[in-house]
Amino acid sequence: MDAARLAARGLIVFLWILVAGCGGENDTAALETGTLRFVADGEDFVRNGFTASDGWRLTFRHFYVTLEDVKAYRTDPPYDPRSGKEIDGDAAASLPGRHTVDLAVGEQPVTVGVVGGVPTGHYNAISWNMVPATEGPSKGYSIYMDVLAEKDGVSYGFVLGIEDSYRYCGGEYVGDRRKGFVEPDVPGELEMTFHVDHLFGDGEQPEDSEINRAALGFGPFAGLAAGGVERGDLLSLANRLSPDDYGKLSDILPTLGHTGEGHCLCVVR
Amino acid sequence: MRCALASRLFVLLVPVMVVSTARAHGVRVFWELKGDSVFVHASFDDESPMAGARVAVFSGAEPSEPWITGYTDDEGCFVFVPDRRESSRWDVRVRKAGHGDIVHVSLDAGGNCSGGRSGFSIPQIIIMSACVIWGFIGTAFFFSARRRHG
Repeated sequence: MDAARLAARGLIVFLWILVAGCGGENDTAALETGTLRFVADGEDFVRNGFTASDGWRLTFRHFYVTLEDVKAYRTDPPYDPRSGKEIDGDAAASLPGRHTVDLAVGEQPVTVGVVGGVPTGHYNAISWNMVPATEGPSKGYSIYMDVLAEKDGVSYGFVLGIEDSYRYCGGEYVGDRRKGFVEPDVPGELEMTFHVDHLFGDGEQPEDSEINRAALGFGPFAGLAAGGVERGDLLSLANRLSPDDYGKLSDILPTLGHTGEGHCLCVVR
Repeated sequence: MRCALASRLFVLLVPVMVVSTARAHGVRVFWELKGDSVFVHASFDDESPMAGARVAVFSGAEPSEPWITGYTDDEGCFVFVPDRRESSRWDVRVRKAGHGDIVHVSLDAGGNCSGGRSGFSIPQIIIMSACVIWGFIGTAFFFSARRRHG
């Protein structure tokens, strides 16, 4: 009888420790908060310029994108954009407002905004809308690039504005290091990456590489320029580009948004 | 050779064997658990292997720092043996020439009380708990018997 009572007491104490240990860690994690920084990156292609697949040397004087409704998620299982569905679950961190950033300036990804007081953890999914700017030089356009193109001693200035809106849902950032870890004393970072080489190709890659086979190059835009600075938006390009080139442009634009090298689900709005 | 064979098996048995796939602009990464080993196979969209791609394996217990790094072989294969005691969840990142993806490897479907960071699955916790309880009971009977006979 004494033995049974002693065993029962020991069992109760052990179970209490077990339950308290499990619950305690979760409770602490739920209370902890940190800071999450959202950045946008056009990579060295936009910052330093590059040679397109058809040999045009491109230098970006400006490359504006306008972003809003930027949200970060902690998903389990990790969100997979190939599912074709939006990210399931409530965002744990949201960046309010509409933000226009110039990806051509500086040497690093551009800070879009910082959100404090977000729950700690690994933010492995992100969604954002790319929408027309309501003010500033890119007003009316979600993407606005001012590019100097040079080839064989000929140079053109070309300003391309995209008036459509795009919604992106991406999974975990894929790059040199993992991102999205928010700790109480260590800010986390999530990146919206824009791959302009998908549009113009990459002269450093083989001509028959996947990226160059799918890219438009700069040639179709150069054909429109009569000298000086040429301007174009989707509405005007629909009539000025060949149907094949315009179709290619329309297909490529939704693929610009990434999370590092990770691709995104995109809905054109 | 072994990896080449595994690669062919992947192609032949993908419809029935593949546990998880990922694809990002011309990259396909598959993983498969064989015994204690995780076989990772990476290829481009045209099915050519991602030979010499950089691989980083992350443990669920320490997800921000690589547990092991390496390169895929000529067949785009990489094999590693995860430490099940450390975590039941592993992430594998494969990258080459601006292409890449991360796949998430789950060694078992069980959860645990600390949100995936302790590395103990539910069966392990139950067994450990049973051992401790049995220890309490045995100790209690030992002292009870000593008191009775003493």
